[in-house]
Amino acid sequence: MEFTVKELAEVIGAQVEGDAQIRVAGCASLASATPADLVYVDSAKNLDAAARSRAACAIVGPDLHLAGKTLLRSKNPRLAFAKAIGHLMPDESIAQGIHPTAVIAPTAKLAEGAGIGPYAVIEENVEICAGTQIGAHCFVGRRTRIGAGCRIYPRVTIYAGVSVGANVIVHSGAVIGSDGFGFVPTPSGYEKFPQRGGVIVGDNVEIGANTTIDRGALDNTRIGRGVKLDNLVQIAHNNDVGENTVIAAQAGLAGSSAIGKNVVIGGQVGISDHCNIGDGAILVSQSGVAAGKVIRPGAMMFGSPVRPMDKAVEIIMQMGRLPELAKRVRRLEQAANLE
Amino acid sequence: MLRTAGELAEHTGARLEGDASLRITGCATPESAGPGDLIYIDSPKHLKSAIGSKAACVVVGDDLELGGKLNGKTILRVKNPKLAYARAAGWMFPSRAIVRGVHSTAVVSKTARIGKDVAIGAYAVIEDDVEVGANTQIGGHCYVGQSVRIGSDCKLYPRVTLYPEAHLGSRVVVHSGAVIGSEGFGFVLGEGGYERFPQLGTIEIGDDVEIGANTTIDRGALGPTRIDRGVKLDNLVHIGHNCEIGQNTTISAQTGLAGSSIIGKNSIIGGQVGIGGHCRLEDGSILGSRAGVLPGKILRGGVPMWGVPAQPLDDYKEINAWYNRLPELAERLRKLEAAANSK
Repeated sequence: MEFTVKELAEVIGAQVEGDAQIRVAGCASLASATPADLVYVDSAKNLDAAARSRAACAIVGPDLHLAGKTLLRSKNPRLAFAKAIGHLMPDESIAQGIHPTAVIAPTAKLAEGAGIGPYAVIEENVEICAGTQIGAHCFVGRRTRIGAGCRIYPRVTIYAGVSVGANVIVHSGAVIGSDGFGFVPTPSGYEKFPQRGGVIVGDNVEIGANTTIDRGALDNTRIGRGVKLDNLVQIAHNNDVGENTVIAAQAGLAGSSAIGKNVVIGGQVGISDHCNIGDGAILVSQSGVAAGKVIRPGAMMFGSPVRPMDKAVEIIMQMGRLPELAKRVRRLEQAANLE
Repeated sequence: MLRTAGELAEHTGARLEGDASLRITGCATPESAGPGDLIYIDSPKHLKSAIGSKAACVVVGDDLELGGKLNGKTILRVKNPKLAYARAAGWMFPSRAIVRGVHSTAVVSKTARIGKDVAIGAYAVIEDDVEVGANTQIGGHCYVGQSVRIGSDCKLYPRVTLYPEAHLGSRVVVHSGAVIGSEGFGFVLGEGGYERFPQLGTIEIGDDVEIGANTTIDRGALGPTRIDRGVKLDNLVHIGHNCEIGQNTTISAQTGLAGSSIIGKNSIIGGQVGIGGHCRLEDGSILGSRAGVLPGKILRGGVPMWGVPAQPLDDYKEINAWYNRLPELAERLRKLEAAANSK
């Protein structure tokens, strides 16, 4: 698709400075852009690269000066650029129409415009809403409901009795609604504790490749509206993840934790069971949170076990000086003849 | 396939001491070997197990002093016994085909260009404009997205997913459940929550790369994500968008790389390592298992690094030794304080 700068400015809410009639056909990085591509600059340190870029039009932040190009001035250039990309280069389709090899139960309700790819399996009483695309090899279990406008990439598995909101994106290999890890020890070994709850995924959630979300044991596992999960994340049974929280790759949550809204969880973080993470808290990558721990809203935490960031940093610094500390103790002992 | 000791010596460039006509029927560990099996030892401490083994033929290093202890066995002398053994085993037992021919249930787009002797398994889906090189095998339930390019002699085990436009070189092996070219984790905070930052970049996988089961490699946001020739990735590894992994680097299971990091050639990265965004590891970097590298860090090659945050192994060992003795150190301080107070 091709737009004039003027048209784009309206879509993304930016002010034009320069030739508003230039036509833009794509988006690219500063280094790889052609004259027809749109680029963005959100920091003064990228201005040199921007000046060298072949792009004729750039989205720039409020106080940046860039000569020789048409500028789209925006308060948040990265966000404006993301919107522009969505407009210039709409998502490619995952599945259009119903592929003849898809296996769809007669009792499944498919809204108009839903796309189902080759060899996808849609079981009894499933409901799939308007505009949702389900890729090849996906499996959607009985009674599961998937809202409108979702993009389910190939080979996603959604177990029975799961509820997925609207505009949700799920990447390949993700598994939603698998049995939680619940067992009761007996003298002859572990007996399975039945996992009869469900999973409720809110609107605008994104779930990364090979991420797994277990169903609740009795109640539901919940993923709030706008939550973003990276690849290879594990969400165990009965967790409740609040709105707009982001969780980076390989992080894992054991069961029954309550994660607040707008929380940021770094990569490879481990959160044990029954924790309570306050709204807006930040858990830095590779942190470990012990079972039952309560983290204050807005706190920035690091380490295993987690501590407030400044304390964790101080401990790390002192750790590096442990051999020296030991020497100082030894000298004191010698001075005091305490050997 | 049955070979004689003489044939194996010729194939691996080994010097034969003993019976060249000895028939070798299999490969095994020294403990489980029968008389027809080939075994190897690459260290003097394994000599004892070779002496006790039923195997009649042993691959040993050029410089290993046997002192007559393996008399009666046929010996294949080489510089690198493990490598020679791997080549001998690969020659005797070529790896099995994942699939032969194109299965009748495979859905292959009419616009896909499929090379000579390509095999495609049951229920695999090959989308429009895909290009597959000669002799490549694509297992059952694999999904190959639009405009993907795969070189020759590749092996995709069942249930691998390639997103649109991914490029794979030749002789690439991908294990089941791996996802290549998925959209990276990029969002911009807007007024009502996070908005997706479109992931329009590419993904380039070089020749001779091996990718483990359920490993995920995201496509670039704008530029490419690159996995260079000869890189080996274990299971459950995560490679974020716009990372570049240099030739012949190995990464063990459950390690994760956030976005835009550059890893040099011939690096060795252990299991469960975490590497923050925008790091640069020089050629020959070594990272011990469970190490953590802070975002933006530059690591020198050739120095083994350990711990969180990653530090030179020697420093780490010293610190760790004192860490174990922290209770003792605290007790000694307490005594010093008591002594000071009693004065």
